[in-house]
Amino acid sequence: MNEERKIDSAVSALSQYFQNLKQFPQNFLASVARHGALDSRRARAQAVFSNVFLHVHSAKVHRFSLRWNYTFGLGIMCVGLFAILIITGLLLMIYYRPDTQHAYNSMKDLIYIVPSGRLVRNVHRWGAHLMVIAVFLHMARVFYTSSYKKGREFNWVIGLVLFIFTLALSFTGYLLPWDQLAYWATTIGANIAASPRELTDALHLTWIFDIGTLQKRLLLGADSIGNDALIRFYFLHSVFLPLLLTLFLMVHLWRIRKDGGLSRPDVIDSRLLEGLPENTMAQKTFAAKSKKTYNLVAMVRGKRISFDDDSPENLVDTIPHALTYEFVAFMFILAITIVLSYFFDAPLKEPANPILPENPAKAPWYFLGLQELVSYSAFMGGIGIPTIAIVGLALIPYIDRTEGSVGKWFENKSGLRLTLWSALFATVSCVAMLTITVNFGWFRNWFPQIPQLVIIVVNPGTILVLLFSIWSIFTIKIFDSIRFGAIALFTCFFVSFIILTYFASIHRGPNWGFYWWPSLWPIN
Amino acid sequence: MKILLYISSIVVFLFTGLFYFQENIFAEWRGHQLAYLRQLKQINQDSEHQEEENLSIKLQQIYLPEMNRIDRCVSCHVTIEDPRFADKKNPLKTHPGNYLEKHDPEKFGCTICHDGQGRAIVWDDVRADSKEKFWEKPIIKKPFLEANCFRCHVKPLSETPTYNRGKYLFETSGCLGCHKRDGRGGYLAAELRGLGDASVHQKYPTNSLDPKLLPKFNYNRNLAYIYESVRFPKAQPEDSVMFDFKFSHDDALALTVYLKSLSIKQPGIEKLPQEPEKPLTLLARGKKTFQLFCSACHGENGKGGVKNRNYQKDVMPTLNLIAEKMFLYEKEDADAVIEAINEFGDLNLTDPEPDIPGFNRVLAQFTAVRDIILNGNSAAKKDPEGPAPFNMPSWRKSIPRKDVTSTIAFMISLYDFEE
Repeated sequence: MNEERKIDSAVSALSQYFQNLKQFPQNFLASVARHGALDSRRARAQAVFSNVFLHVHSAKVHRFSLRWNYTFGLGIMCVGLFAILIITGLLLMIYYRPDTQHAYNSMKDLIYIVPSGRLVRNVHRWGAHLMVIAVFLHMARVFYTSSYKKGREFNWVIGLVLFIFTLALSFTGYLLPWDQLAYWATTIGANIAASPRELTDALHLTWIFDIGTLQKRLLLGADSIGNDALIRFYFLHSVFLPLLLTLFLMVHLWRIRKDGGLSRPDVIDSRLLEGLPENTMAQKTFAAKSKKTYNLVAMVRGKRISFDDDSPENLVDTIPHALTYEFVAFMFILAITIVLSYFFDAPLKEPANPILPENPAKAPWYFLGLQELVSYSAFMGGIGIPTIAIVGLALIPYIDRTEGSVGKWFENKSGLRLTLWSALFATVSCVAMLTITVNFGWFRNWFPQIPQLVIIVVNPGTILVLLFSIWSIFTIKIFDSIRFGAIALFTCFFVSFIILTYFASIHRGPNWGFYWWPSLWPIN
Repeated sequence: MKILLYISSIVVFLFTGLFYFQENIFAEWRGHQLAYLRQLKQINQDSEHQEEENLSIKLQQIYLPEMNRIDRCVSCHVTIEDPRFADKKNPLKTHPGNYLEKHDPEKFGCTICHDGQGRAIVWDDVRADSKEKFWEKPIIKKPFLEANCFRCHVKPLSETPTYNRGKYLFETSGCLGCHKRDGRGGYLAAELRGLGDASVHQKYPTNSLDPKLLPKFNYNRNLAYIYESVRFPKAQPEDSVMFDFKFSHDDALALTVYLKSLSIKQPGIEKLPQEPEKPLTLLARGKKTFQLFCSACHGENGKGGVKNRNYQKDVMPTLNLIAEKMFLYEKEDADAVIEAINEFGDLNLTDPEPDIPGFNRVLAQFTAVRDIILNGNSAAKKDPEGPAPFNMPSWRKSIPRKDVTSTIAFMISLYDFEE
């Protein structure tokens, strides 16, 4: 590749011309992939290092990072789903019309006559749901493996920002089909945005400080959901939020590299590395392929990660091993999405009708737990408790600074037991609060004149927060470990989210009444 | 790991392939168009003419921007205008009758008459007649299909006998005594305009409670409900105050068809111009008004006998004895009064007054009756603790003054002077 092409006086310019033309394919390939064939470690490292898309990876990865039951490939699934959503989203943008007159009809045309329209639309819908699930599970994985420590604190916060963007993307996209489901779910979301009114009304401050109405108007561009809201949501969903998410994703991936790569324990039992690709070339020595020298580019901050088990045997090339595992994770999630898309059509109900509410009007499933809390107090459930949750999550790496077992699920057997006990505690608390509210109601049923402020402060949502905090502090005391307190609190939050989401989706029917099963809803 | 990769890749490949096959090879409409080509070949096998060579298999549609509709029915129903297919089975059947000669499919499309989901290309979605299909206008079959003619047509048609019967029954049973139609009528019951647009998913009206009814209506719950509320008013809700008119099945069916036609204006459709009606005589006008608004409570031709709950006098007033109440004891006097109303519109505006004995008394009674009709009247309770009886509504807003007086004239004419 480095041979110089001397223009031999013996070769005329014309024949050189034809020779260059003939050699075009291999010259072109060589100019694109300057590292040549990927048969040497150096070539592989250079391939990763010199490619703008690949160089987010390190040239070599530790074998431990490739264990599927360590990360479950969840981060890759998140990014992979995002890529799938972008591609399908771009395709949908060609035919979708963001106008109240045409949106619904363009959806029908997409489903019926646009070639592969049904496939693309279903993939987009199920991909979106799967991405929300993947993001949740990825957050849980990072938490339970203590991968927010040792310099990774800020990346955890960036991850939370990405999480919020994912939910925002899903919420804005939900409105676009402009059917009954979309319209009324967005109505609920908009009214949650307006819920500070509950607080300002209770404090009689609304006349000076009506932030609720301001937020709702900012969101909808009007006082009700119409063309303004649709074009606004379309812009957010297709342009602004994807851009923001991509930017923050770049930071997120960059920080992974700079904070020391994928987390793993300091000391790794070699049994854990069985079955993983091996560095077969570690024993071999081979002549350097060239005399290229390297300049120092940067010092990476942070404690030098101790490498008892980081001997060269345990570092394998990114190409092919890490890329293979990433590809597996991506194909796996793509397969699941396509199978779901084949068997289940994305819902499209009748056209949006502002005078005919859905009953029950339900937010998208990942907001249903929130909607259950909102049914107790609009402000607390819609804004108060989610803010507490997000702030609490963001604080975790800054409060839990113990040098614990990074890279170990649940820390140890004790931690696993604690997780299970916390899950039980959260389940019992949630079921108890739900049973009380379903059977006996809450304050306004018993004391009709009670001030709303009391209900805002004392309602099943806030009581659960209190119970979980008490449990967490109790854990800190018993185990004398902040990490264990964090495990307790996070598990309570996670399990209660799942339970409330399940409860609101299955057991809440028309007028938000309790029903044992959807088939028992009254024929309306 | 590698196994997972192979399996995932095969699954992705397989299902994408399935999608491809479903769309490009096994699509319903393709099968129908292929069958059409085969049948064409059979028809043409004797002749030299090879018309199917010029036909390709592709989606067809009728684009109707003013109505905001796209009808893709013609992708499967390729032969609606080809008379050679008159004896074949749907979808390759010629359109029956000569409707397409007067209603060019390219201008009207199909769904404007037949309803259904025009943009769909799968029969189940087009039909949209189950709870899982969220289309508000499922395909509608005869005799209910007749209702849709009246999105444009105004005059009764010979092709719509059931509708015509239904309209006649509606306008002679006094339905507007309680219901409103286009803003005119009583106050006790729902406005009926828009009833034809109700659907399973608009959740109005609700389902019929009698599961045996549904199959008779092609499982269209709304048609079943309209029929049920006409034929069995007390079925739901149980405390409904609607009278049981004891309609026969056929009459109830006809009324259902008529009520289905009471739908809100569709975009891009203009009703045909209303031809000027031959002016009716005074008594004919009065009879028409009476049958439309009054006969449900006051009985056919005012004969009375209709119960009024918790009313002091138990039954609603009879109206065929008005002449006597108005001190008109001779037929000539009654006829003179009717003549005066015909000429001057209102007995208070006569100039000169009719020459009948005690005209002032007659005038006073006439005015009293007229004012009851215009302003309404509350019914006295029999049991003060009981429910309120039905009151006489005020008809000022619903019935033009001319029709009020003609109704009074009609009621006067009902009196049997012979006995």
